[in-house]
Amino acid sequence: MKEMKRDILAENPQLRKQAHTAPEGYFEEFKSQMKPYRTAQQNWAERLVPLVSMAATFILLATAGTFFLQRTTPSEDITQEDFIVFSNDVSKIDYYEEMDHIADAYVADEDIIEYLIYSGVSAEEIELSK
Amino acid sequence: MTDERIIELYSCGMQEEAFRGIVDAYTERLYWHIRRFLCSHEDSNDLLQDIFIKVWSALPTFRGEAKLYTWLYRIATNEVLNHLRKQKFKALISLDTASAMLERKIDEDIYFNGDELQRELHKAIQRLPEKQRIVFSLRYFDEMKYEDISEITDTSVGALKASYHHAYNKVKEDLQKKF
Repeated sequence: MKEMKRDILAENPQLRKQAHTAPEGYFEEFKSQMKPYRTAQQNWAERLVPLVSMAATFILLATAGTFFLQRTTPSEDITQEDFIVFSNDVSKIDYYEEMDHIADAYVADEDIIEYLIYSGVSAEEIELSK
Repeated sequence: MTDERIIELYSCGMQEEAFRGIVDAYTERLYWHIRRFLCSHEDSNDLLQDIFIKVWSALPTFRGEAKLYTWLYRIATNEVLNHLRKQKFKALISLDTASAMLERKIDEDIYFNGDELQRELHKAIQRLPEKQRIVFSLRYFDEMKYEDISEITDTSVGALKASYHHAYNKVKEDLQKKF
């Protein structure tokens, strides 16, 4: 019962006193060093500067990246220059072999006559050329 | 410098002078307020700087509807709570409890110069739930009115009285078991 009524907090008023200390001269030093931070109250123009800088950096990097890719990736379109380079690579022997192959192809006389008639050559001229 | 003078300076456009007035008038009060929760001078010093930065950036939003000192205590208390939540998370990672971590800080604090009963009192406070800890500290040590604590914590006076009553009894029982 006695224990129930006991109030250690009320019995010891010194408990309310400060039990901690701070280093010597701490508060004076803190107050002298604590200055209003200009950055904490920037106007809209000041706040815009880092955003603009970030956007400019992004654009610069994107442009440089695109330029680099264009320079290093081969193009799908064949330019005149590419054709010349390719033509030089094909040797003359290859060309003649291709021509012989075409010359070997068989065309019947009937087909030639039919073609000449269709082209408007007279029968006499066809007869003469035989 | 009085609160009225600080507000007067601020409304005259002398923001930096008003801020200087706040720093001069409140550094010690806010330091002791947060020190009781953080149990370490280094942590309190870091947090106090953050609090004043917050105060400076929030000054334009101060409309004078609340008292300057309750407004400042509100900022400080919110910062303390944020800090304690971070510590709770750190404690969780290190498989410890936040209160055990704070109790250890009390034992290791080279700037603690109270007696054994005071040491146990501060340890018992760390074992209280967050809200009770704030109410107990503001009421018991700072002898603040419930109406002002209500403004700081955004809690009704009735709820605060109940919280203080529970906190007081818990701390008392804790101490009476040991002394």
